[in-house]
Amino acid sequence: MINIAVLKPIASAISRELFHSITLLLLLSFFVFFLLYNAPGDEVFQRYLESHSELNSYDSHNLFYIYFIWLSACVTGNFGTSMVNGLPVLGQIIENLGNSILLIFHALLISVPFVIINIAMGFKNNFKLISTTVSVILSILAVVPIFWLSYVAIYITSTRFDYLPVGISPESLSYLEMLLPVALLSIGSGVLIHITQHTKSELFRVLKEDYVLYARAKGAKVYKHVLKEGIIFPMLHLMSHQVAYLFSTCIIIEQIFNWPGIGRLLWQATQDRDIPLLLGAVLATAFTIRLTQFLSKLTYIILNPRASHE
Amino acid sequence: MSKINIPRWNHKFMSLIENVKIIGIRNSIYLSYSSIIILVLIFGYFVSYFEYLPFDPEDLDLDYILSPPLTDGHILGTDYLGRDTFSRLILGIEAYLVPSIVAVIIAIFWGIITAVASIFTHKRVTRTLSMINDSILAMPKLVLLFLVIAIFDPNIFYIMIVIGISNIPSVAQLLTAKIDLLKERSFIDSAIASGISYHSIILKHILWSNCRVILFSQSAFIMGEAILMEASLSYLGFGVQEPTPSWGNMVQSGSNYLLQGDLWSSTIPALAIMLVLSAFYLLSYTVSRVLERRH
Amino acid sequence: MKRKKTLFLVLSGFITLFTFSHASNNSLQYGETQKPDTLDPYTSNETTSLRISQLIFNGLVGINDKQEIVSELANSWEISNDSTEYTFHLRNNVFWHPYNGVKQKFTARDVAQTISIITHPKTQSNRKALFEHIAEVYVIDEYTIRFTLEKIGLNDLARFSFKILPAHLFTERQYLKKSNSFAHNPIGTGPYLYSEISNKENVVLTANSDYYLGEPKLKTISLKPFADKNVMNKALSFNALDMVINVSPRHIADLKSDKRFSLTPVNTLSYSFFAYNNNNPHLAKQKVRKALSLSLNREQMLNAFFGNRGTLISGPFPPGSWAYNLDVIPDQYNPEKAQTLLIEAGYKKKQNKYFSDERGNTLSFKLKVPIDNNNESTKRVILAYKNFLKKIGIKVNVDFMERKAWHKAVFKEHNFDITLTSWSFDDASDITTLFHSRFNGPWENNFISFNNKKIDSLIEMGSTTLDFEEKRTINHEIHKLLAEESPYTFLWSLLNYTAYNKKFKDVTIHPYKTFDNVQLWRSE
Repeated sequence: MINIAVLKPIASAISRELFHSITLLLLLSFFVFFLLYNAPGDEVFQRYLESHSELNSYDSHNLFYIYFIWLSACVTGNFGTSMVNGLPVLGQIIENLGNSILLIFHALLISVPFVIINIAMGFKNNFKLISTTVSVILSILAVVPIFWLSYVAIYITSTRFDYLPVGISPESLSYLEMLLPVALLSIGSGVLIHITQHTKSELFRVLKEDYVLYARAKGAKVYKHVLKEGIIFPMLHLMSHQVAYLFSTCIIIEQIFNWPGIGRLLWQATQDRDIPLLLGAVLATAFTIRLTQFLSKLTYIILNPRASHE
Repeated sequence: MSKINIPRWNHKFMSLIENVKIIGIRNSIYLSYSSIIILVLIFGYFVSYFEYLPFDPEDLDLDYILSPPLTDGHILGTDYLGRDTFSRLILGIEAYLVPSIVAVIIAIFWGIITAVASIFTHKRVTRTLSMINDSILAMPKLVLLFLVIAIFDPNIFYIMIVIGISNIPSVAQLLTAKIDLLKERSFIDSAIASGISYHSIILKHILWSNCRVILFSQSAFIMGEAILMEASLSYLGFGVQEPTPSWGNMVQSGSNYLLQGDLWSSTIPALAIMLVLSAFYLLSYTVSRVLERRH
Repeated sequence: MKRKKTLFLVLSGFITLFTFSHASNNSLQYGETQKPDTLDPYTSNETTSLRISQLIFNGLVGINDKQEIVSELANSWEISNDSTEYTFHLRNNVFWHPYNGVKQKFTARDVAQTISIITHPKTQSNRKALFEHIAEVYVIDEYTIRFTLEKIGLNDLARFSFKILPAHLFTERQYLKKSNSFAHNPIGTGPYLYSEISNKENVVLTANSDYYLGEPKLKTISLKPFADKNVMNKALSFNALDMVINVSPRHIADLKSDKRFSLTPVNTLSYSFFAYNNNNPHLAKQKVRKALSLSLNREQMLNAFFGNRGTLISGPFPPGSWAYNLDVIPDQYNPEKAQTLLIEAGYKKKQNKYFSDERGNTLSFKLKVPIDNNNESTKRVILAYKNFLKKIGIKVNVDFMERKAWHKAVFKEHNFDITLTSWSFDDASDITTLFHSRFNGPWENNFISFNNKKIDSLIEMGSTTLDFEEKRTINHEIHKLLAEESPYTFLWSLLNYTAYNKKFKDVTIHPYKTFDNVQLWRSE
């Protein structure tokens, strides 16, 4: 028997989040459009309008008017056609975005066992040294330019192991081929060490909370609670907040490892000044990032219904 | 004459040890490491400003291409055009310091304004500001940079402005959290009661006395990030353009030869970036930890 | 211990499996630096697109790797005595690639339709000029077509190498745009037919079993775009690629030492140069331009940057062309003479080691160049140039610009002092538009506003004469004059290299199309 009274705050929290996300995306799309509108030289904006099937009939320069027409086209999935190859932008974005998400998802996924092992090692005195060393090495690797790191990695694998992890497409996907890009993405961007450190400190904070100490003193089992409060929730939160950062790093990783993701698309569009494609890709990226944050909030609320009252 | 004369340096030495004890050995190692690196940076800036360089950084020597360190007076070797890496590294400091200060100023200034405005004004303003901050956070920094590069131009100052803007939310969030805590404290109330103006309460008592740690550590962090961003952009072809040396384009041009086995010309600037960045990040981390604990 | 060993074996087995699984038999994968915009031969101007469309389409005639005209879709042809009428007899065994499962026959109607499609005002194409000289088209019967020309040019027959489009796909629309589905799913008569774009990246072509010269021996050819040139080169040596079209100079030495690859030099009719804008009062002086040319050590640059893979040139024609005058010797590096010339031209050297004019202003020029991330050699040449001029006392400010902005500034607005660029020629080696003072408007080729009465009259003389020997003498004279005038600093004509795995046999590399007689290529 589901209690409606319990569901109500959850539903209201979700709708609040949804409203927040939508407003945010609207704001962002306006900002992007505004930037384009103010591009130096009339040509950039004018050429963009001419390339768009819904906008080329309007020659009014009223910002808000054009923005709303553009927005309604975007909502229906019409981002225009690319200036370079004449194909609809949306189709290109969807395929490439999928490939990027694959990479980012795995980069986040491998951090889970890593964090758990690292934390577990930190508790045992014999392994403390190893865990500290690993952390130090990871922090150092996070502050060198990622493309240099990737080149070095490729250099090592190709000369030492006689294996080149590039020139692959996601179709013939095997985990071995993905290993290097994914590992570099999570190490080189510093996301791995960030998640590890923060989860660790959060866990220690929870363990030192009065109620936990009290419960442990009384002999009650608190593992489940500590796991939830100290590891799962902070990791969920951290991961969803690192997605934007991973997208940044992904651009470079995709470039080097020849991965046909959204980063390649963004780069190519910037190179060619292909404004419709660039705009579409930027909005799609922002949308994905907001969506992951929304989903993580959703999971949080469902796992922890009390939080919906906040 | 049996007066015991304790030398003055001994006093200083003792107080140094005292300080180390207070801060903790690990933190003092961090701090001294970062201050040494930053001093070297500042020294390098002046050296390049007065042009006391061992070689002309733009002078090509086509007979010494990609030579390893310590060949014929080139302490750190030469790059793909036979230019002296050491001189270029020093000159490259200039390419960062001024622009990255622009980024820092923008982030700190607007961060403060946003934080103060969101605390001391109407709730609706607060909500709007947090919405704007969130929307900046939903945009990957490199993507934002691409947008600006495509619409405007790949210019280092534009790039730094964008890095500055994209760091406003993090500064603002930290400040807001801190000021929120401070607001509850009694000294604010007593300051208001004793008739001190709001301006001086916000500027002097809140920002300067209590938040300067956050601002300082954030500045170091943004400086570090600016270096890393510029390096990434250099790889993608949108960074500082040659012949002006920047560490990013030095690593980039060197790494063209890395897969063929010429490691030096990219590794040296990459190591320089690593050293400086770790100094900035450690400074940011240690300062906030040490000084926060003292409060 | 034993178990460990087995595990290791299995793992290394996996690794080798993955490494070599890409190179399946009977297929060729070639690397490019970007993906093609479109796959048809007209809408895009990118070399990537043009190269792959060569595999899918045919012209009436073709040009082989030795620059000779060979028959393609036309079996034979007749040219009337006054060279204004061309009659082509077409092959009757040519089929279009299947469209919706149906194979249509290729006829004269397709040829006529192609011309009307490309000359349609709504068609997006940079190659419309190819058709300007055609006055009338007559379809005589299914396999015979006749053209009359408006005016006679040099080597008119070569112009009929334009690619033929299928008329049956253009029944509704009479024009071609980038957004047409045809531009992305092309139907042609060529040896390979478009199969798919796997994951939006690799373009896969499969052998056309009905090709009129017999079924190609390689089953598939695919294009693989690489964003990073260094990685592309590495992929070649790891068998993840079979062919790299344009090997960048820094990788040549590496590949040369590798026995597995064949490195074919491709001589293109092109050269690079520094152009001097005559609107700048200093650069309008011949002595200044000559001094600039003399102060460069081009030999050392060619050696250090390109490993001597190219030839220094002395004049406005590509070396190897019939118009090139071998008697003119390229300028030698001579900084002393350069300085004397500058002093003769009225400049004085100040204490700060830079030259200055009568009014005491330092002699300095603005060098505008496009940013080209993939082409590091341009950057090297620019920086070396700046350095050489600094040595003799001329200041150069380098301005790296975004490519489109550079194009506009240089070719439209003529707002530059010096720039580095290159020309590519067809075998007519016509330089009229480059140096005749008539062609100095916006978007025209004499962007340096070069104006010399003698050159103008020589060029006009050359274009009116029909006698080939006379034409050659005139061109040699022009060459000599321009070498003295130095409107450009002529640099070099570089060899491009194409590298491919030696397991492929019977490979002939075409200078700009790359794929020549591709139906004969085979792998071991």
